[in-house]
Amino acid sequence: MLWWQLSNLQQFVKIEVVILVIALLLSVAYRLATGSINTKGLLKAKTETGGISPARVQLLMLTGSVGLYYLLLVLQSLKTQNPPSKLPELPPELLFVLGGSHTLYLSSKAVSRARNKSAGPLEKPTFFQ
Amino acid sequence: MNPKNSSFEKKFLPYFLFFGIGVAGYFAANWIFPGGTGATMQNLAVAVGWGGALLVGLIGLAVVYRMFNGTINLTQLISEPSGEASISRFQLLVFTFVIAISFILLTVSNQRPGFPEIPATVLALLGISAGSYIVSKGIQKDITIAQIPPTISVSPDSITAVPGQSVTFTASATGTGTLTYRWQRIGRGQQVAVDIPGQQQQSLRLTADFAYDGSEFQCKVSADSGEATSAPVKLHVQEDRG
Repeated sequence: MLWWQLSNLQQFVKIEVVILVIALLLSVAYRLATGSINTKGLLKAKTETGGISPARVQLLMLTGSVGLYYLLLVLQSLKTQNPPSKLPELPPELLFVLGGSHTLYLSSKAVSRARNKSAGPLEKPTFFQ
Repeated sequence: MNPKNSSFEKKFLPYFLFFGIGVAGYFAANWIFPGGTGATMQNLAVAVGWGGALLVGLIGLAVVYRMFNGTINLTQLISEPSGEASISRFQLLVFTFVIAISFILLTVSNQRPGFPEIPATVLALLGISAGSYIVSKGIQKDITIAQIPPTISVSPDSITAVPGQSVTFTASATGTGTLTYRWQRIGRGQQVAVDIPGQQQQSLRLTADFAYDGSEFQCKVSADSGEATSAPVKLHVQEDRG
């Protein structure tokens, strides 16, 4: 068998993609861990009192869970003898939960923005002072 | 020469060149892989595939390396112009990344040619995610964003090196608007910081030399809203005693 054959090229591309994806993930994770990617105020309520916003926390947790769940679904489908020619389906119930989570977050944001607007312009965030 | 013809040649010259390279490649492949036209074309296609795969791999590694060492600025990947991280941008990034990775993994794992089908539920997921991001931005559009001046979030560290060694100082900042980085040097025993020409990125790369010994380096970050300067750090250059 010659090394440059198509089957070897396919194998090479698979390994190449997996290595690049892992390297990309590690690179972003490293920069998140070292603080080079700004995450200040990710979970903070944008109100005068500040503090952790429950709406943001639930959205972050659900985003992480759904993302991880879908990646596991994909990895499971790749384990089969003949990988499918279609991305795995997501349960519709999960979409409803996700939609509800986003609605909750957007509603809370709209309410807090409306309150801020009626109270005057936004104050400078305290962590920059 | 007629200028009209000159412009025509300039426009079409690359296509003629590509065609020429293609024909030359075909004959070269015919010579390297003898065995008929069909086999030659197949071998040529596989050779082009190998070239493409190696090129994509090298570009991908270069991008990842530049992301890792800070040359590609990811500071505001999930931040808003106000300088605060955005959860709606973060969730859109996560879902886009997960679906893109799944799509690529399934494409390269499949033996059959073609791209995998995307089910309606996955499209709905992306719709919810992107829709939420757009609505979130719409809610805050009418709010005046405070102009926040740059703040140094990652400061450089002092370095000790031997002559000829490559050294890198890295700084990062957050703030409203476009941030411009500038590196400055304060020579040994001097008080004035002088701009280092051509160094306008988050990282400053130097080759250690005794001329730099005891010099201080600082990063100045400017934006419309103001500017910030990192604390000066020293470069010590010592003889290699090993």
